[in-house]
Amino acid sequence: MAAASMPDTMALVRLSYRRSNSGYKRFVIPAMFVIAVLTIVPILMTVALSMTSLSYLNTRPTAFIGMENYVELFRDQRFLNSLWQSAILIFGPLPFQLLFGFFLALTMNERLPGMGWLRLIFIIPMFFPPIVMGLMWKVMFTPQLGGINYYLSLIGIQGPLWLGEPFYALISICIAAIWGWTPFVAVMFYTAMQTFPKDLYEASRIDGATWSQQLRFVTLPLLRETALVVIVFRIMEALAIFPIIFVMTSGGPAGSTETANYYAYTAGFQFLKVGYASSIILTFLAMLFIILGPATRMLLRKVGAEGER
Amino acid sequence: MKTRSTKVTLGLYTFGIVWGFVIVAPVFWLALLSLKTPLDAFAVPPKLFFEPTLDAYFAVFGDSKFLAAIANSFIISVGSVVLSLLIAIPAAYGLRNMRGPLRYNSMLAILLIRMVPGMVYLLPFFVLYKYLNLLDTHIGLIIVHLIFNVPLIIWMLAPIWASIPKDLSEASRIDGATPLQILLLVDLPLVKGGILASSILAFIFSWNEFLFALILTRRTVVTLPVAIVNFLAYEGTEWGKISAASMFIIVPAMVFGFLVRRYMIAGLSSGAIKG
Repeated sequence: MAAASMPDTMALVRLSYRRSNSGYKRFVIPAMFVIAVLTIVPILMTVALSMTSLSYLNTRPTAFIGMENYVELFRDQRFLNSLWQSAILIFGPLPFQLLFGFFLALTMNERLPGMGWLRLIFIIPMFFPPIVMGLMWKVMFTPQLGGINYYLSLIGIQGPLWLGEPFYALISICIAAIWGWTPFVAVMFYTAMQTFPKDLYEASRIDGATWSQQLRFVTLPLLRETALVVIVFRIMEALAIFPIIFVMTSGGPAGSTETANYYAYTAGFQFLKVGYASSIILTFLAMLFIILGPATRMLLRKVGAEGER
Repeated sequence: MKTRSTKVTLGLYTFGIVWGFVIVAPVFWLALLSLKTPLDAFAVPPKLFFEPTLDAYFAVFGDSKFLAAIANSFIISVGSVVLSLLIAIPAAYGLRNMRGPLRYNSMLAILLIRMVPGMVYLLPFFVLYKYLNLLDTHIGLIIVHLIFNVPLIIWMLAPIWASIPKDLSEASRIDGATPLQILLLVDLPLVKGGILASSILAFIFSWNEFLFALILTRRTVVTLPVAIVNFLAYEGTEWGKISAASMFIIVPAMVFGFLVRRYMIAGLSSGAIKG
């Protein structure tokens, strides 16, 4: 009997949702329509483009070529390199951003003289135009113009030609990324820390836990969920360093700092092979979603629950 | 126990000051560069003390292309914020009053769309704009900026809206006010702080945006970030002009950013497509 009445209750709930929502749907529909037109349509168009030979350089008519772009993609050494370089530039700065961000959050959490000012300074990079971030670090790493190598020489280190050698060019971009996005991680952690129950710390202190034990057994477990959110966002947005690569190295030297989305830019807007560029960016997007799939689902459930409140 | 915690505090303090230095030093360096003569700029050892000159600033503000870029950036940022608000405010209001899976799924879809890298949208928009003659127009760029600003504003306003008491709008509903009347007369005045904050953040995102502006503009509607890059490419790398122009683009973003820093998290965690 109880089992039979369950679906009825659900139907009633759904009906009540429908009734209470009906007056408000028309406020949401315009936004949904705009978003759909501006995003879903272009994404479908990219899928369609990726199966054509569209190129603004050749004069041959554009033809439907099915999966040919994708087949060529996996024979294209430049694309395979760009995937590897994307991985380096996504996952290289991440541990440093997490580590520094964590300690920065702990610092922000302390009540110390001048902390208000320090917090303001910490978040400067969050509003910084990425293009200026790139220019600034290009200046810093340019011989003579930026002081880095001079000050390194004062402590006896012969600085490399930062932007001129593949390995150091990657390091330079990683440094810019750590500078630029550690504050985001710190602020996320800091905000989470402020919601932690104070009595947990109180209790563990009475039990004689040291600072490092509190960190290990109270703070870190409580931060796990936030850390997941931060990692997913950092991975999804890591390639927002496009403007930084654009001004610091333009993907060079010898293509060594070219990420997948940078290669899509080069293929699409310099070689003007729009069809091929579409297949590059879609393949990369698919890989990103496969890697992030499980974590993203978890995150979306959490964020969705927040939106529900 | 006591001494240990003092040691920890000191350690964190030191780390914070060192990191503060790491943040400020390159910005300071860029600011100094904007005040140097080309000769001082390349001096070895680097000059921390020198006779400052405003030449670079005069050069930048005497450049009609740069002045046009300021106007373009301003028109596009303001235009996109206003249009985004018109679309996003009713949506945030509707979503706040809706219940059940429809609301949940809508919020989710909006977030998911923001997480897609900008390059995915850029290729079809380029093809489409070329066909529709919208390349290098203000309205073209304003429309594209809606992709990140509409979700940003909805996601920022939703929690702010949820935090205001529902009693007033409930009471007006019982008195027979329509949802539209409640939005305009009751709810809007209550969330105006949140609307201001989300507008400012959306403005900063538009103001800083580079990728779309690079591809979808040519000569007439060049925005500030692209104009700075053009100093790099065409004019034999004039570092004075580049750094002076950079200072000009940073300052508004900084000032506005500090004003709305409390609302940052909602805005940032809703994701940003910048590349």
